[in-house]
Amino acid sequence: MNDHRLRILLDAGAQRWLTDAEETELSRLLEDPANREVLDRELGPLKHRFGALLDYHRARQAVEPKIPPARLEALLTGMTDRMAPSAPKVVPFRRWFGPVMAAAAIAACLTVVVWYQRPGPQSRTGGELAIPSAPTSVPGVATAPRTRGTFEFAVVATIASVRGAAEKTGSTLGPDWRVVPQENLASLRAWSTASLPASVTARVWVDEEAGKLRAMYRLADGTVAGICRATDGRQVDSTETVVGWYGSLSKGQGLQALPLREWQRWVNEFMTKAEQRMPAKRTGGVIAE
Amino acid sequence: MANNDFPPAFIAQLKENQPPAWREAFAVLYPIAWQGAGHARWRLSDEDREEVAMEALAEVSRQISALKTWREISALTFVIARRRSISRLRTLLAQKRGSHTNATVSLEEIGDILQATEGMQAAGGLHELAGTVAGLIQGLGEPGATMVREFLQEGKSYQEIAELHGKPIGTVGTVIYRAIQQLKREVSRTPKLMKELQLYLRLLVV
Repeated sequence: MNDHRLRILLDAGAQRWLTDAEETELSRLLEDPANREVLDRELGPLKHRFGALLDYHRARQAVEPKIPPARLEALLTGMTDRMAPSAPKVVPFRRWFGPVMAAAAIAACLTVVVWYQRPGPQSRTGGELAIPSAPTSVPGVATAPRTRGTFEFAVVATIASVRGAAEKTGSTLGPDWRVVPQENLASLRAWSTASLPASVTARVWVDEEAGKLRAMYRLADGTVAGICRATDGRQVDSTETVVGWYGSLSKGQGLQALPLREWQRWVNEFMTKAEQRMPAKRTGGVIAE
Repeated sequence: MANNDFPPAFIAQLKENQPPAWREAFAVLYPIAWQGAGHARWRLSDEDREEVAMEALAEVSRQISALKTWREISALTFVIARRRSISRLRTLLAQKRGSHTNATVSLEEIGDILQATEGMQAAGGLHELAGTVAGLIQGLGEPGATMVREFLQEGKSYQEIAELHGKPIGTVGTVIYRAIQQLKREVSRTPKLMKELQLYLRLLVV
């Protein structure tokens, strides 16, 4: 092998000075793996760097694939979890109550129209009004946008007993429960990405496609939040999970009155219990609301 | 949806964690993260790739307060997805070999490096340089441009490219060597930028 000759030919080629005979000679040299290694050593670091830049350039142009709807909702609800305020969140009074009530408040000589929205028991009765210069109250305005909802417990693409026995609106698991069987994954996707109805307190399901347990639930201030947890590669036994979840949720009577942190603790506990009941073997899909 | 630069007002909405803005941002960033999570030289499963992309998006949303422009956001998304995919690949390979070695690179490490080098400014440069390189290769004409892309992006060997295009291997070697020398000369005109980008490039390269 002649490194020197190879380099001369490559440089000449780079300058477009190669004769036909020299190009033939270069081809002959590059047929030798050892010589190709020389060229790789020469170009290696630059190859990777320029390749990465081209990858990034291509990525910037990409518009596919679209983000799966359930994934998007999970990201957004995950952000809601992170943003959960430990301190009162300031919301303009006008935005909260609307212009009419704001005008009424101003007419009532309220000098500060700031609404402190504090998730928790306080906000169920309307939170607190900060009115430093004119302490008073506003009767009738303290109405949080929420009501007690049911726990729909939708099972099951693959459990015959539930599929056949449960009615979609039947309270088969308890007074606040209803089983909503899903026939297939498409219906699961549609169901899990739909907005949480006002009459429903929580929706929980197993996203087997992503290997995640997911829950969507309504906070005390009416905000819909979400949480997900990896199932560590294990799949969920439907029957066991249904039983486990029912046991967990049965303790949740009056959940609607819980403040945010209690909600989160409950959901975490709920998820943990569901996970503990998951065997290693996959047996089918579970959907719970 | 076009992957355009979003204006500062949009970035401000992201920093305020406004769900509509993030909904749009995630929709645009997901394909970037997906691309970052894949590479011609390694193949993660679609499930792993999606998982990596989601992790990248979540991480970017957590770091939004430190980012100023959409270019920085998209560059960081790509970088995190790329590094995450490399880490996942290494982990999978280690598991396959029965090794217990943890060969992954943590996001914390990436964050530390980014912060230490004020790399966010370089992210804008990364965008510019990537455009420059892509433009230069485009300017090579065909089949040279395709050959170079196959070499740089798809990791094809000289022999594979020669066979694909029915050209002598010497011609392929010359075309690629010439193109890379040209790219090298071009980027060397902005040594400051190259220096700033060293970190990003190192992060991106396996």
